[in-house]
Amino acid sequence: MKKAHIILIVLIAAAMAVIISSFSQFSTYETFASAAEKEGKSFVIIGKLDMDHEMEYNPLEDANRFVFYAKDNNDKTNRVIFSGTKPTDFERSEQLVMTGYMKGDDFICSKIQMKCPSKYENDQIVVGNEQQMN
Amino acid sequence: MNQQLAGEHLFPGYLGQFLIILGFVSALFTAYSYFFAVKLEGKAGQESAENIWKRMGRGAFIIHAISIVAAFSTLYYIIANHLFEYHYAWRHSSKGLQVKYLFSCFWEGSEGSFMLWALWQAVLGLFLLFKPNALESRVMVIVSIVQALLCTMLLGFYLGPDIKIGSTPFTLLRHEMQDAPIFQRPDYLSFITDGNGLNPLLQNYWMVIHPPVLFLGFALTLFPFAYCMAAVWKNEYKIFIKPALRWALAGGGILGLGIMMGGAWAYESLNFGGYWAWDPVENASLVPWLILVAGLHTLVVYKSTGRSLRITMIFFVLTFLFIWYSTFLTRTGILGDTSVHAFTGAANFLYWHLLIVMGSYLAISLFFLIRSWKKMPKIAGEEEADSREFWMLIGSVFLLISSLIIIMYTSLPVWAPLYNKITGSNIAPPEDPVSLYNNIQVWFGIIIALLSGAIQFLKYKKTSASKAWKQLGTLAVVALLLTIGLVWGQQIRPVPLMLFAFTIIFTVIANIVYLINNQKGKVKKAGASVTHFGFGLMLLGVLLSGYGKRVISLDQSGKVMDYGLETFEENARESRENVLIFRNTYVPMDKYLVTYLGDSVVNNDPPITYYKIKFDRHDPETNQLLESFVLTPDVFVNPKGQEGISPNPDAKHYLTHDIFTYISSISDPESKSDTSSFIPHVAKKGDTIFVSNGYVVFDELTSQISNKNYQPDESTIAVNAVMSAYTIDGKVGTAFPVYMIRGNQVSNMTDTLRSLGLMISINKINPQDESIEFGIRQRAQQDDYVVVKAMIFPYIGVLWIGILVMFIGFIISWYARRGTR
Repeated sequence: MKKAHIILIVLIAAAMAVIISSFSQFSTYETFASAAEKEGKSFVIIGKLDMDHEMEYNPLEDANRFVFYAKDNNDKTNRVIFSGTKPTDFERSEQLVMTGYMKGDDFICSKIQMKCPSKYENDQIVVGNEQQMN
Repeated sequence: MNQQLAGEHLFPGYLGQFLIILGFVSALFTAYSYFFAVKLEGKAGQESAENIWKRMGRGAFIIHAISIVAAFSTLYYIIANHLFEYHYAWRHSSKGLQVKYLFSCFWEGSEGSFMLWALWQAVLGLFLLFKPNALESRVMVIVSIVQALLCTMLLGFYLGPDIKIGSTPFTLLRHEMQDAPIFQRPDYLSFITDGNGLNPLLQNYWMVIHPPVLFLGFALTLFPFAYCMAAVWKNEYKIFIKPALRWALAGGGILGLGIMMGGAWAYESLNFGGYWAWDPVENASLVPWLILVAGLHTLVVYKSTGRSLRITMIFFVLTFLFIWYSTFLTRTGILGDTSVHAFTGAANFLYWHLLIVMGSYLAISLFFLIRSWKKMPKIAGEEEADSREFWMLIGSVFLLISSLIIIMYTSLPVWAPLYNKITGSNIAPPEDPVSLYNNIQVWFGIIIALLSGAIQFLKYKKTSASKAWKQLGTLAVVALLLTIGLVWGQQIRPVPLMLFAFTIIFTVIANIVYLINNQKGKVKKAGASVTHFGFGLMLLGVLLSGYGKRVISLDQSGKVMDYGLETFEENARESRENVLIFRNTYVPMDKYLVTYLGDSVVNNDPPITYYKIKFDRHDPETNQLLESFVLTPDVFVNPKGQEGISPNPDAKHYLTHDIFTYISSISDPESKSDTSSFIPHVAKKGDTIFVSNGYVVFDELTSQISNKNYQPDESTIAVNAVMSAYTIDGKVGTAFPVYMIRGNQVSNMTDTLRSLGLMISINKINPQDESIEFGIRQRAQQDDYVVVKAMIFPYIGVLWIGILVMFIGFIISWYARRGTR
């Protein structure tokens, strides 16, 4: 067999081995309930901001602590503590993708990705000084 | 036909739509004509017939190009004239926008960027027409088919109520939003006074220049692909080499530049905290570039040795397919949850449309390649292990595998559902995707860096001369010594990074030596050496700034959160990377004392607030001030419809590092503190009034009004006081509170000095003793603060220099290969 082909096959096999072993680093999408079962392990939870509860961000006390409540896809609401600043447009987010782990009753979150209503999808037209319509 | 309602300008829309359809039809006709020209190629006695078809094809393509240019201009006209009856203009632009950002609006939307892409391809196609070449007909068939398919993305036709083909930028606002009651009124347009505006994040010069360069890069990848198809069509494998190589070089340079411009933009203006985040959108463009570079190298091998033709074909086909795949990933919203870049929501028709288009390209490629696979020339026997072509092939394969790994991780949302069906596990991207990519890609970086230096010294067919080995050996030793110095100096600990440092240094010095020593500094042949040298510098910048990057704004003062876990404790504590600074106080960060001086507002739509952050560095022993600079990161406060802030960073660039900072949160600018109210001060001309952190001098009272907010009025007598404000650093500004008398009514206008948080007004004027009673209110310091994040990027300048050098190298190679050879 050609040398080049042998090297090729070895490379591909090595690459596949690396990739498959990296699968263990992937997270899984979970809910608060299932994350609570494996407390301490890191997961990704998709949810929505729960506006029924108040949010806390007081940079004078702690610039890196933002507390809010989120509801996951099973409609369970949980308290989330995020170690960072309050993201822009947080109240208008349609969906939150939170990465973190459960500790006790709280979800300790290190990363939030928000899906915001794109202005483009927004049906509101601001009409001069007249009413806003949907 | 639309009934024209009050104030509407319907003609541009009709014209634009007509031009797109004309562009589509003429592209089809171009393909048709050239196809018949190809059929008649080489047939005896048919030259005149062939020429007729060719000329028809050329004419059709010229019409096509003109249509695209005209459609482009029409859309620009609509945007520039603020014709908000058009959905595109309304959605992406507004009246208050500065003229230079009108082009940003143009490419903000999907339709505009498709049009830009089509425009570039049309222009590049015109180049082909005006340079005589034997492959014109075949190449133009491919090019015009692709152009036609690209035009379908802009059609906006409905097949029945549910199936939409393409999306046109010329649709009317009232068609897109039919349910809004306002459109029942014939005079609706008078109510729409302004457009939705351009996303503030896109209001900068990068948004003007990055998309055109990037899409030019996309357009360029069509041509190596087209030339490959042209070659296999008639099994002619000699004449396609030079043009394919030149197009690939141009594409490599420009696409690479475009990608890194995106990185520069991210670094300078956005808050990803760097220039590369292995974000899906970034990866999706990088992958075709890597494959393009691989194909370029194997094409050179083919040119020099006759080997690696088939793999070259595969590389160029894959490049082109992956460009369209990147469009698929970014526009269909399939990446939704995994990328901050997901540009649009899921648009179902776009999903299927792009799939069908990509499927067509795949079908065409497979058809041609399979048909000619056996007929492609092969060299008997295999390459020698110490030959240039062997190792170039290995290097190209490494590039391919690297890119396949990248795209595999990036496409996780695409294959996760399938994985879920098989294993039942609903996987998500990893907690730390950057590490995942870096840890794997560093090995590819090591190998590629090594090869890009070492292979230069190998010869085609066989490298027997011991001279080459001696050179390589010497270089390796020198590189090793330099590496030891670098690793020790930068304290690089991880072994893969030490290896990486070695191979980077090796390729940097190897290419310089090769250029000067072996090539005798001849510029014409220098393309590869310069490009590889630039590439090496780029990797060096990546290594040093990435490894050494650190956040210096570490919050020491906040409560330590109670975590039981080891790994996460580190993580979470390190996420406390935002520091609060009160106005006119400082906090320590690394070697600096960082002070928040105050803010100032600039008129814009939406208004921009600049925050002055001063960095002072003192000698730790003598306490002498060694350096001081002020950064002004800015923020759009409450941009249209949004709450909160949209921040942009500012950085100080040194040769050896950058200091980068941005505002992550601010105090509410309108907050009223109970403790601050207007305090009366009586002063005469020349008197000084002391305030917190500074003082104000009442210079004079004059009837020449300098307050910009004051509108003169015939029946009003007005005077303003000139108040100069100072801190220990000197004068910080002047305020002009106004006092007005109209008939027997007295009123006053307050002026503000944001840098001291002061509001000054004139309460009373006492002409008897020539004194004035001022009311001065100062925002309490507790009300005025910012939360900042600051980072140091060592040697990031090396990265940018490397990119420019690499680009120059591509241009040298491209230019050197012109003319017949």
